[in-house]
Amino acid sequence: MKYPIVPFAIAFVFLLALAIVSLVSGAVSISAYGVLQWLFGFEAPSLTNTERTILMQLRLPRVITACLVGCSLGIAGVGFQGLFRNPLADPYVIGASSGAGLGVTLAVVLGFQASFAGLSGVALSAVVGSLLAVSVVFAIGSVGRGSSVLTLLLAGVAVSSMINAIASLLMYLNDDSVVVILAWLMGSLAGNDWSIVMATTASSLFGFAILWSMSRPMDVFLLGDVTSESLGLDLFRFRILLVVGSSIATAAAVASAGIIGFVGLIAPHVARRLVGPRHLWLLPMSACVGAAIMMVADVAARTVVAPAELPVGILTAILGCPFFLFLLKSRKATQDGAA
Amino acid sequence: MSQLTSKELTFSYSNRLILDRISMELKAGEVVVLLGANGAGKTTLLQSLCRQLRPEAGTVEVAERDIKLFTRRSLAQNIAFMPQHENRQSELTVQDIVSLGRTPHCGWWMPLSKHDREVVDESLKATGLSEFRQRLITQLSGGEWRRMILARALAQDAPVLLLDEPTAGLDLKYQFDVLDRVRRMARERNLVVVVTLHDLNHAAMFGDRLALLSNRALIAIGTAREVLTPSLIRQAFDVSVTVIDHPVHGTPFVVPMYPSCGDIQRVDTESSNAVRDD
Repeated sequence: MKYPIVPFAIAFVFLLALAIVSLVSGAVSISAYGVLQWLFGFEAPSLTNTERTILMQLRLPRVITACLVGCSLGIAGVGFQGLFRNPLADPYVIGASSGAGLGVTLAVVLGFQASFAGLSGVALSAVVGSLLAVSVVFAIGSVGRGSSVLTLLLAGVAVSSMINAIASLLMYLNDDSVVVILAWLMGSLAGNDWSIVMATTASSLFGFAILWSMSRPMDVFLLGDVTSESLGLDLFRFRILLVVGSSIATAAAVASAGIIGFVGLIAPHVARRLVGPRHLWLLPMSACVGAAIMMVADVAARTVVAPAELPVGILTAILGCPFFLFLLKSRKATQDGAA
Repeated sequence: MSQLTSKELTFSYSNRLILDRISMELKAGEVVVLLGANGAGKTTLLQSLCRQLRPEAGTVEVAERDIKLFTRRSLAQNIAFMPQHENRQSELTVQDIVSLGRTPHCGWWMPLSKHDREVVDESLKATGLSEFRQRLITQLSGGEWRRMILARALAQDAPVLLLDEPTAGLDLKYQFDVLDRVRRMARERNLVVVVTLHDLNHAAMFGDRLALLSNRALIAIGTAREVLTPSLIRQAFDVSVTVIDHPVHGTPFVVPMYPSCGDIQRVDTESSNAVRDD
């Protein structure tokens, strides 16, 4: 078996470099040399105490959160693209985003204040909303024998539309809350502290562990339902585990950053180019690519209109869409060339 | 001891009866060819034999154990099914696909063991695909692709092999190639092979026994000479044929009589003296 060591080594170095750039940039600029010293545990005499506080309390948790959100979206993207055997699926395809949207809307409108594991009431409602929506879609989509991924996909589209309509109705009736809700739906990494880092780390690792343990069944599943069953895959159990793993990863991202578009769609495509379609390597590479995209978007969000900040979800879509189109075009060119 | 047995197997699709009380006993080392008109239920029977479809009544047994008692995974260790169609879009290599045949034998996550890799190598070799192992499956010809799927079924290392139209869409050379390999495998590895085919003459040449499905029932099972008779063929396919002896192999050879071609010109059979009239 060939191990794709080179792509992973490059990804690691690239992520580290991005992390340093990300720590250096922002409203207050901090010297890269000082950051490097500080990061690797040396005394950093060039840094002031304020700079240390900024690094420790603001930037480092933010960089790690960006990294984790990207990882989660990257692996959830692989999970859902595998489940639907469709490269256009993304982590929100079976209702996670609309469920989160409704959760946020309800929490803001009703003034839900509880918090858990460092997550605010709004973030919790988003997670609960997205998991509930996915469960409803899965329950409807897998009713009856012979149900297919197509049924699941259609159920996702239908349920999402209805949930979106309910959320829109709530916003229409409570127009004073619209700005707060929209800010959440546009996605942001601002205000994340260490407790959120912990919660996000735990849930994204959990999601990753579930999906990675299923690498081989996911390869098998690519070949179709009939072949999967004849190779010993219990389809119902496999689909449930796949949805659970992907949804937990999605929820991790939603809880700490709101709705971030395009990352979960693009990361698996880039990763497939780098390490091929086998899930054993595709999942960790897609996590790396997702993390890289999120960190780039986050740096841009913090610097483009500094000292103000753009919603990072808007940036991932603006940066991601042309990149995705470029990938599609070059992929088509390769296929035409091969044909 | 029969390796694969179906007893009174009955199957319906939404109240439409497809298979009516099919009973067969198949022994290790034999190739049984399943014949029948389009829609006669050949694929349904194969899929019922490996629990892809759940029969309404009746049982299927592998080594005298009801397949309902197997987990999906242990069933896959006992029955390998080669489907007629499969998603060909992935960018996996031939070796990746054939290695997936080991899925029922290894853990979900663990890498393949030395034994697994040896079985994969043997299967690639047996199907003549050793030098194609690193090729992407999207670059394979139809014949190579069928051989790859066969290699994966062999890598499953199951005592029962069910092949759904393994020669569909292949040219004559590849049809012979695939069937020849299948028969050799059955002999060498003592497998039960059930294969669906459309070509009656290939069936006569490659099958140890032939099973003919018509009107939802198994109307005949036996040697080519017992099954390929003009009356049974008329009953199953609604066509008129004459059956002669193959001039070289001596197996029954089915010659269709085309109704639209006017007067039937009888073949010169003096040399073989083998036109059989039923």
